[in-house]
Amino acid sequence: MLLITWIVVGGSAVATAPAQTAVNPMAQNLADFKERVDAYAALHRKIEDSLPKFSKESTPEEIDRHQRALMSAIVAARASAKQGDVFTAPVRKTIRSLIAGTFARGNRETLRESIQDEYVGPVRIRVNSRYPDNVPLASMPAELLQNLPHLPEVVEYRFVGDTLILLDPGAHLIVDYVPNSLPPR
Amino acid sequence: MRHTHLLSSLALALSLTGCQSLSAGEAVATVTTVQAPSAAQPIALPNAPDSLKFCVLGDFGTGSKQQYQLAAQMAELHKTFPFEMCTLVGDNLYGRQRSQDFQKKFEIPYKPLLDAEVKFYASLGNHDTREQRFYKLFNMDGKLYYSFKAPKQDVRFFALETTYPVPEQIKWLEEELMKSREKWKIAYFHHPLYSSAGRHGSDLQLRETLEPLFTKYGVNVVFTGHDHIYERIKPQNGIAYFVAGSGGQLRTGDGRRPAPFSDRIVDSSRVFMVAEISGDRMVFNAVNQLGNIVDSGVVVRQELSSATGQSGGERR
Repeated sequence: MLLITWIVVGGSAVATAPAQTAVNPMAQNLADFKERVDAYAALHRKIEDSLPKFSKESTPEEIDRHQRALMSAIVAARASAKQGDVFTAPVRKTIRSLIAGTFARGNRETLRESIQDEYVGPVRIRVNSRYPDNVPLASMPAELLQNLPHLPEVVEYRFVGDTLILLDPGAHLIVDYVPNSLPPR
Repeated sequence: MRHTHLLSSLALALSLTGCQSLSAGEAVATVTTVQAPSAAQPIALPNAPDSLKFCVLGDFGTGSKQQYQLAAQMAELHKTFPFEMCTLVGDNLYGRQRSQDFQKKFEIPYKPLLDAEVKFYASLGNHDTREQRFYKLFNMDGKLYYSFKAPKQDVRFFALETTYPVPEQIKWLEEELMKSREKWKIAYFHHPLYSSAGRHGSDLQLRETLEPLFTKYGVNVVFTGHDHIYERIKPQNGIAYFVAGSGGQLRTGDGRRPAPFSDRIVDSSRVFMVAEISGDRMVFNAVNQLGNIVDSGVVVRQELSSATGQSGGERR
């Protein structure tokens, strides 16, 4: 966090140069997360722009072809991607803390029920792999979305059990994940 | 009983429940429902020439024989009650969503309706890929949430995406509702704000988010799915709620414990809804795979005067 000293001079406020710089670890982690997510989003957009244009009134064949082409190209471009590339260890800690905070302020059980409404049991989650076709998407409570860091349009948060996934829905791709992201019961 | 348009005078007015006090100018309309005394004596669809006729379907895209049976009843009813559009409350395709799945789970079963130029307006459920918004026959124009004015009558529909209700969507909804001047405001989406079903039940988180906007801006009717039953809810805060989540899936017996807010549950057969709006009345029928009318009634829209709003009394 940048600390700024305000001095009132002749009725108007003037900001002087920073007197000192203090580091808020959570803000720093969130800034780091944003940078990594933005980098992923830029990659997604760059690859998508290189593919044939996608109509808003497409046939299922066109949709499927586009989605698979996008996924293949992103996977190839991130061939060495691994868990923790986006949700780094400090970011994971921050995300868990934000989720725990939402749970603490809200109705824990209602939130958990909403998230795990259609949980189908353990699913193998792997970075850079396709989100399983047979696993329904978990609902994300609005309250939680308001408290988690804002995401660019091309990615979204989803839960599978208590694992928080960063999902690229356009490519059906798991970008990264945070295991054990929900607070204990 | 087949689609015999029997009678129109078997009305039993129901009082509203669960009303909240309102400030002047907050809500602009409210509803009462009139229901048939029994499923054996359904309220007829007027089938008026200038009315808006539409159907409601949810949780249907299984590709199963049962989905096809219900689809056949929809096509049969369409011959005598030519609804021009159909709102989809999500879970449009289960499992894989390849091109052949779009055919098997949507295009083939509803071919007679598609051939008759019935327009389907989809919302997405938790089993739906988000790319469905680009599918031409779902008329979503590439949007996850959208609103549109009905081709007839003074009606606006609001299709919402409730598995991922980002703050932008809630803001958008409020703006859309605020500027909507239509007499009827109908919202539809996947997760029910009220449901008696044992499997999922009411989504309380979503209710906290959406219902204040619905009451503030006078939404009249809400259609949802997710639970694989049919349920009509007693009007809540001046809004008629329906769960129509058995368009292909069915969870038999899941409505065995009706909540106090429940008015009618069908959990033993698959159901779609048809409705007709003319002026301030919306007549609805819920029809099962045998063509039987399993529920019917009328939603009557009423202007809510400021005086009534300020009284905080029961709205009718």
